[in-house]
Amino acid sequence: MSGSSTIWQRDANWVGSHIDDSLVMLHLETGKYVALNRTAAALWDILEEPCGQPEIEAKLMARFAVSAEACHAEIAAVLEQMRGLSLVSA
Amino acid sequence: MPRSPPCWSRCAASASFLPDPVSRDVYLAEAFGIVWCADLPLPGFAPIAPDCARRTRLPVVRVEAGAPAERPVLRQNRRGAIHADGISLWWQDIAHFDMWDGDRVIYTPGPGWTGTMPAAFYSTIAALLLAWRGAVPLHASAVVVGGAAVLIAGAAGAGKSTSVAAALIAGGALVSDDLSCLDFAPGNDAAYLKRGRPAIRLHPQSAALLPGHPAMPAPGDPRGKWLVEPAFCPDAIVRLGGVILLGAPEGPLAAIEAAAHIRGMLFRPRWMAALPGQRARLMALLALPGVVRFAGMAPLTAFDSEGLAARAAALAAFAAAALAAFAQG
Repeated sequence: MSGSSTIWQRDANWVGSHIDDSLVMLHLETGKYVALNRTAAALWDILEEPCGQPEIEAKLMARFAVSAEACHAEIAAVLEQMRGLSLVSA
Repeated sequence: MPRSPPCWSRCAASASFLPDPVSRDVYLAEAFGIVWCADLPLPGFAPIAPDCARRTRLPVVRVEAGAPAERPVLRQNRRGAIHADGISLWWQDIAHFDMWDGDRVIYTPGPGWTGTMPAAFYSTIAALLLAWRGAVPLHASAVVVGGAAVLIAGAAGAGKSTSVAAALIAGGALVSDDLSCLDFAPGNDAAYLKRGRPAIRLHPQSAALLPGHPAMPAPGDPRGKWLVEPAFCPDAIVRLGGVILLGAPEGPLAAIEAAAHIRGMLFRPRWMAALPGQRARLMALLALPGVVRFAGMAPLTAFDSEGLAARAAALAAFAAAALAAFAQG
C-alpha cells in the first residue's frame, strides 16, 4: 500500500514513443511492450521527475476536467497498475 | 517521392573527407551512406570513383591493415570488446578488427586470412560501425517498388531476400539485403534508408528467376545461396516508405503490434544491446510506426513464379499506399 507521502518514480529501463493517442513503451532488457492510454501517458510524463501522488493529481487536474475525488481514485488505481507492470516503483 | 536529403551524421567523424589527390594504392567503395577508403579492394561494396565520392558529400571511413591495439575494455562481449572509442573483435582465426570512433577500421590478418576481406567485414563490422555513428542497423532487406522504398524484416528463413527478389523481378531496385541501415531526420519525423551492398543472396531457384544479372555461388554460404547483382537503387539515401514484417498478422499493423517486433529487427542484437546508444536506437524504432506504415505478410518460402508474382503485387500495392500517404502529407 502507498500513502500520500510515497514518492513514485519511473523504471529507467523503459523507452516510449507517442503515437496517435497512445504512448507505446518497450522494456530495454526484456523486450516487453505496453501501450499506455492518454491518462497513463500523462502520468508517465509527469513522472519524468519523481513525485508523490498529491503532486501528480494536482498536475493532472490542471490538465483534465476531472473532480478531485475521481482523480484521486483513478490515479491511485493507475499507479498500482503501472507498478504491477514494473513501469514505476514507489 | 520526396527528394533524398544530404547525408547527416551524429558522429564527429563526418568531418572527415576524401584527400585530394587520392593515392593510387587506395580503393574506394560506397555503402550504407559511407565512402569506404581502403588499402585493399572491398568487392562486397559498390566501387566508386574519387570524383563521384567527393560529389556525394558522404562521410569517409578508412580501412587499413595494422596491428591490434591495446585499449582499456569497458565491456566484454561474446566475440569481442567495447572500448570508450570503439570496438575490437576477432573474426574466427581470419582477422582481428579494431574500429575507432566510427571513422576507422584497422584489420590484422590472422592465420586463416585468405587475402581478401572476410564476409564479416561487410556485415558485422559494418553494422557495428554504423551503430557507433548513430544509425540503426537492421536485420532486414529493402527494395524500391514503384518509387517507394520498402523495408522487409522477419526472422531468418522468413523470405526477406526472396520477397525482395519478387519485387526485383517485377522491376524494383535493390536498396539493401540482410543488413539495412536506417537513419532518421532530426526530430525522428522522417526515416531514411542508406543504400547497402549491391548484391543479394538468393536460393538458386530464386536466382534463376533473375536472368541477365551477374550471379555466382556465394563463397562459403552454408545454405548454398547465390550472389546476384540486380538493378541497384540509384540513390545513396532514400526515404523509407513503409515496413513489411514477415510472419506478423497479415494486413496493416498498429503501433503496438509493430512494437512486438522492434527489438527483433536489430542486426546483431546482442552487440547492439551492449553498444552505447541502445536507448536512442530503440526509441527511434518505436517512433517508426508513427512515421511510416507497417504491415504484416506471410513468410515466403516457396519459389514458384505464381507465389513470387503474388508477393510482388502485394509489395507494389503496399508501396503505392505509402506513396499516397506521403502525398497527403
